[in-house]
Amino acid sequence: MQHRESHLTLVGMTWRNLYRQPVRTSLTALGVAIGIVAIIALGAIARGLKASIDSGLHAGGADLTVYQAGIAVDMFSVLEEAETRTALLSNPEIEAVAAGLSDIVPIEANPFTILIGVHPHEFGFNLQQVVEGRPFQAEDEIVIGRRAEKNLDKSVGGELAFRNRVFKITGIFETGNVFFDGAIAMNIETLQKLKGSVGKVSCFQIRLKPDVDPYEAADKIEKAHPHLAAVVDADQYKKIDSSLVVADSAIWAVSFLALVIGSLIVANTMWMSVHQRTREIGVLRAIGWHRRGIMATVVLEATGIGLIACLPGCLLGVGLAKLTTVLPVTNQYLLPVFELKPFVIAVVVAVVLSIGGALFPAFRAANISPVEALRYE
Amino acid sequence: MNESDSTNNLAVRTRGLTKKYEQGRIVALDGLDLDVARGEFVAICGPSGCGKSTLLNLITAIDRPDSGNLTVCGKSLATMTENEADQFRASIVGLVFQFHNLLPNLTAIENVQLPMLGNEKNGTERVQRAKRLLDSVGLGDRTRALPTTLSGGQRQRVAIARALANQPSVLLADEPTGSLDSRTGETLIDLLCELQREFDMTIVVVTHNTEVADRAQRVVHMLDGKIVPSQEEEVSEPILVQTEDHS
Repeated sequence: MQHRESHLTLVGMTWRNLYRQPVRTSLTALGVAIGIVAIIALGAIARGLKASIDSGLHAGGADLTVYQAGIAVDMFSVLEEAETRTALLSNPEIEAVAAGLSDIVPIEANPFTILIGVHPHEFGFNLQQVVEGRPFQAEDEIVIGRRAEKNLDKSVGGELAFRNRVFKITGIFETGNVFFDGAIAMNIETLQKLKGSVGKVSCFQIRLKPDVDPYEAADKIEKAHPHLAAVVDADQYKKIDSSLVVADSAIWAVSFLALVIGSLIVANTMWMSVHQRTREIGVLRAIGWHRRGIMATVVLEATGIGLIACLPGCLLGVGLAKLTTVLPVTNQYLLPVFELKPFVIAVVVAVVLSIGGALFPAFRAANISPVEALRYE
Repeated sequence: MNESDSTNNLAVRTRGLTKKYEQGRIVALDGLDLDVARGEFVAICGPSGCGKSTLLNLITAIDRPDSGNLTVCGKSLATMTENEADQFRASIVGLVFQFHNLLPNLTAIENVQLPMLGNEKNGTERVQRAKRLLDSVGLGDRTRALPTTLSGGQRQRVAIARALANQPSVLLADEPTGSLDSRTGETLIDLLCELQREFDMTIVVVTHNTEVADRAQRVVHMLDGKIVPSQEEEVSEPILVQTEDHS
């Protein structure tokens, strides 16, 4: 039988080196994969957070949402309800407003359950559009989101106790927004009393008249009422919540750190590899290989490690991000969003940093004296 | 015959070749003059430390002399750049080491292709050339074998095939039988003699082994970095002894 003989290529040589040392290759690739995991998982969570904010700002058909200006976190926003409502409705571009009041209370196993108070007759966040049961009516009635139903293991007709009162669940709503679907909605007046904030609200959702530009309208509201911050989209959310900016910075810092660690692991491995193959490099130089050929073998090997790291890195990244949807504490706040771009970025960054880690060892390999290398035992 | 004609007929020409180590404390080569004619099979003998391997390193341009002239196949090595030296090693000379120095992750045929990776031959041409060379060293049926599955003699044959990959004008061998038993070593020298005739190559072998030296057309004795002129130098046909293949 005639066998086809393989013709040798640099890539083929590189593959052999990686394939014949599976433990070294796997561990190094895992080091690089950590960086990819950070980019994929944290990026997906951050995008999910922004997507949730965006959909929350526009829930119920709102064009923008108004909060107290000059606050660090949205939960601290306090507005005088009557005064603010009057001021907003005096704006001829505004068609309707809906007040919202939020609070966080510990309920059973969940220490951070979100309460949202809305007026039953207003469009407030569409929380009264129930998919099971009926909207709340009486003061001791509530409706809960689909995620809250699962997390709290309650259903229509059941009861929930918080702030020393017992409430009857009359309906289940499902908005598609992760914050709201993990929350409990009730009459805003009841929540004002529970919270000790009678006459106070957290925000106003605003529906504009047709053909009014929401960004221009937001500018006008802020100019007319400097104590208000009008937010149209997630990018403007930093006006009333710095935690997103902090989270963004933290995500970049963690990703960068993980990638640097991955790069150093590659550098260490390639350095060891060059050291172990000193004699081999000497032989290659002695048979006429150019320095760039020697460098290419080292850089290609690092590239191979970077590419190998991509698959486990992406899978682990997706897995870690998905984990937030399973844990009760996080699944009411986070719904990771996966896009192609971060995967491409992660792969490119992993390969580039692997190559970066290999440059110094490759330079060292190319500059090994053939005479010294051939004497190396 | 004028000097130019005689120089053109030389594969290797050294004049006043000097190489020192450890800041001049160790003199490896001390003004060495040597001529090797094209197509000649020369054995360089001498005790350990006499400068044999240093001479070989200089002829292959993997090391540079401190002073003196060194010309190989008309190319002056003293003025070569690093890239030119790489190109020189890849095309003019072939090198066989005492220990085979094959890459353990590559098969026999892949090891033979190594020196050809940077040249203009395409993949198929490289494979065909490597196959022919392995055939000519008697290993046509072991092309896919990894070095670990080959005997010492077979590995050294693969190393010879690798050294011939780019059709060098000069084959240099540093103790090529040093790691082999005497019978296998003898077979290997037979092979070198055959290859010299087949490819009309110049062969320079550094050896301690008098049996190897006896097979050369000329033996050059070295001592303390110099050529010792006392030995009788006789140019003859290489002696080909038929032996069984013990590799």
